[in-house]
Amino acid sequence: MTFSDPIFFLVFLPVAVVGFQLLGRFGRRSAIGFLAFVSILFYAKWSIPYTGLLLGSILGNYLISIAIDRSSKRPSLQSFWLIAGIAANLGLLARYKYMATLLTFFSQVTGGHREWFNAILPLGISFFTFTQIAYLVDLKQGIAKREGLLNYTLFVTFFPHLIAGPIIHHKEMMPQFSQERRYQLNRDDMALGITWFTMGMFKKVMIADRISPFADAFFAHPQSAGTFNAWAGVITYSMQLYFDFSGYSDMAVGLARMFSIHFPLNFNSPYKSTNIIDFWNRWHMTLTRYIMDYVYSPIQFAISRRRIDQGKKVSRKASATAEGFTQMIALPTLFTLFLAGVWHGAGLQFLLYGLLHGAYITTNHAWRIFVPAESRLKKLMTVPVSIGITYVCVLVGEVLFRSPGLPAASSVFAGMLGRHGAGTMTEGSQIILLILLLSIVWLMPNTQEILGQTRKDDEPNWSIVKALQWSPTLGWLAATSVAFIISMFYSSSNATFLYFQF
Amino acid sequence: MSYACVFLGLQLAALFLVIFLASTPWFLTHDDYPWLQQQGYGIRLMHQDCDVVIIGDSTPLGLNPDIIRQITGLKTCNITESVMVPTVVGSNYLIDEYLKHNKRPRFLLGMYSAWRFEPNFHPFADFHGEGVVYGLQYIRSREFYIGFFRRPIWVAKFGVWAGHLLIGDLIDKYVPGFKRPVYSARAEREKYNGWWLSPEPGETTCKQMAQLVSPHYGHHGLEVDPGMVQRSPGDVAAFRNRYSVGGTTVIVDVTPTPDCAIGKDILREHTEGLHDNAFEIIPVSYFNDWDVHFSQQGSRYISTEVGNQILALEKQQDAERSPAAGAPR
Repeated sequence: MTFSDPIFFLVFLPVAVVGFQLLGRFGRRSAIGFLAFVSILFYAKWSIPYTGLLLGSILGNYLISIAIDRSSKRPSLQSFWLIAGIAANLGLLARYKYMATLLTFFSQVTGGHREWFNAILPLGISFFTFTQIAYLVDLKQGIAKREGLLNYTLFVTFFPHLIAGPIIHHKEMMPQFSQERRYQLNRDDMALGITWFTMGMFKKVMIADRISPFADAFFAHPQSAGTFNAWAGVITYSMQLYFDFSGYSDMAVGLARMFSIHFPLNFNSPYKSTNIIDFWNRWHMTLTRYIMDYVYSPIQFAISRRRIDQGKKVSRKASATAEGFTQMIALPTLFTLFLAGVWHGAGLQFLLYGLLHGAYITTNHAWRIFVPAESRLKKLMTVPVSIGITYVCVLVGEVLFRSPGLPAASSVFAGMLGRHGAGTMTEGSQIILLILLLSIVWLMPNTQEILGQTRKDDEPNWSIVKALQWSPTLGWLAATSVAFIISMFYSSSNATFLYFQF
Repeated sequence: MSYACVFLGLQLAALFLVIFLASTPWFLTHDDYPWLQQQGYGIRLMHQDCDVVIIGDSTPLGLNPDIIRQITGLKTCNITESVMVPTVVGSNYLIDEYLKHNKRPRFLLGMYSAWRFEPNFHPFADFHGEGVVYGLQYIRSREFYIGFFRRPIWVAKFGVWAGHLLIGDLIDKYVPGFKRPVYSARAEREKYNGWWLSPEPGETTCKQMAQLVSPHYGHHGLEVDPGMVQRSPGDVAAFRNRYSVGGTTVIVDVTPTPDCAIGKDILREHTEGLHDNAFEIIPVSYFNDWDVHFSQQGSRYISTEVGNQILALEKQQDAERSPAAGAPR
């Protein structure tokens, strides 16, 4: 069951909302228990055996969290439990994501011919694993507090974030369930949540799912596409991915808001980014934050400590030298993005995807540090030019992201570079559609801007209709209802979100 | 909370409006969805008193009554509904309704795909929008409405399914470039005594069915999950017993399987002893839709096979009825 499955929004969600309202009258524990229960049911609808895996993972991490908490006065023992917890979580992830690929690889290296096939990837395994690792780390660092089993189960399984994020920190969600509040639905949050969810559903069902056949057809036979069709195919996929993931994120945030839970934003007009660092601060924002907090920062910290031990400087000035830049910026960036690439999948294309973005970000840092602000080259980089260059760089990465392997990706690149000839002109209707979608992406405000829910420190994005502001009026009710009804009739039980494969 | 309540009310109103529209005769012909249009041939047959009646899942839609009649000399009617109908209204309903308005046939032939060899579905066994439309259009009984509305998941699924058809129809009619060719499957079935072929070209691969049966990779590559091959010996026996009365001979046949199908041996093994014809493997070009529905070529072949099978039975029965005529002097 996914958020765009009719059974989810016509049966499961109303039951969850009404049940929360009714059981909330009996206090906090019954409301939390009910939400945890329906969240587990939500997962079980997809697979009962893997629900056992999810519950096993929760129980295992819960026991480790007790061990970490109880050994707070013995740091070495506490570190041992933390490392054991992280290793167990990563081991579980590796078992499902990489084992078959590695076994096949070793079989071939040792002269065997046996091919191993991956078991079905448990839905959301990356997300519930990451959430729990972050909790263990935060618990050791004293940022999170130990929870009872019921609260902990809800923290991991709360259905709006369970299967594809946003990746939530304990301190972001659980205090909202701990505070003394009435466990009843709030009419303002309900109206906002419904609208947020509807906007996400419309993006997913009426845009991403409708254009996916064009992108799928192109990536199925990239070798037969000329230059025009190759670019049209890749841009179409970039739109599909954008509206799919942005739609999912809106639906997740909207669902949580229906229960008056504020989730962090996960998507902020990434194709309006003027550079690649900016892009990663807008695309899958909670994953970027996670990688920065739990991978990049520890690596950079370790390098800095080592430099200090060696008597070297770690200042900003030091990073403006070739040696300092390489050690303090390039290496941690490339290594972090390499890991992010590997996380996406076991194929070489994902590894290259990570390294490519690592190279982009490193280049972006070098540009900021080494190219003077007053140089002519920097002055050429007006906002539209910067957005255009960033988008093309992202497109190149998305070819690797979408392709089933390196040969297929090479074929797409060859098509984009004209190696297959100009080919026939893309169909007029597809061109008009792409222009329309690019206009929405670049010229319109995003969902949180329309809903007045941007973060305080976010710079406002440029758009042509800044006055478009939602409020719970009759006009917006009519527009939202029509959008929902149309999306409802086009929704499908079989449609999945692109990020589910991770 | 009024905002949320009005919003929810509008969604429910839209859903029930669609369900109401799906129960009107207009819905059957409002667009050119052939699997919906071709429904209901059998239930509309009155006093036709056919000698051979063909039923089954959708595969025997390709059995041509004219060819069978040419071979056997028996009046033949094909009242098959696609499997999407008996899974909702029950297999017995389709035959019982025919028998209410027509004399018992001499031969009742049920043909079922090896993938889903099941002649005895109970009502509300499995959701299919097409089956619910059939129920809303032709059954309209209190039991059916209660059975349907007490299943909220079915109501939700059906509302979405029917709404999608309606919006698709609006797009076809009013958005330039989306116009589909006009085609009347209902008229075709009426014209050919219930015979109807899906308007698709012959298949060249067995990919569609391979995807449907949830194959998995085993030591020999792509394999069929044996659990997916449905068969029910008890239901086959119940079907035979129920209708082998009043001079009716029940024939249960298995639909031939295309030569490229995965798991042919599993299919053969799991249906063995349940059917009256031979388990046949025939070229995939004899099929056109989902590797199970017959193309023109396949229809001609299978209709001849079935005609000959009934002819042989007919001769055998005639011989049994008048042993003196056949005995040596």
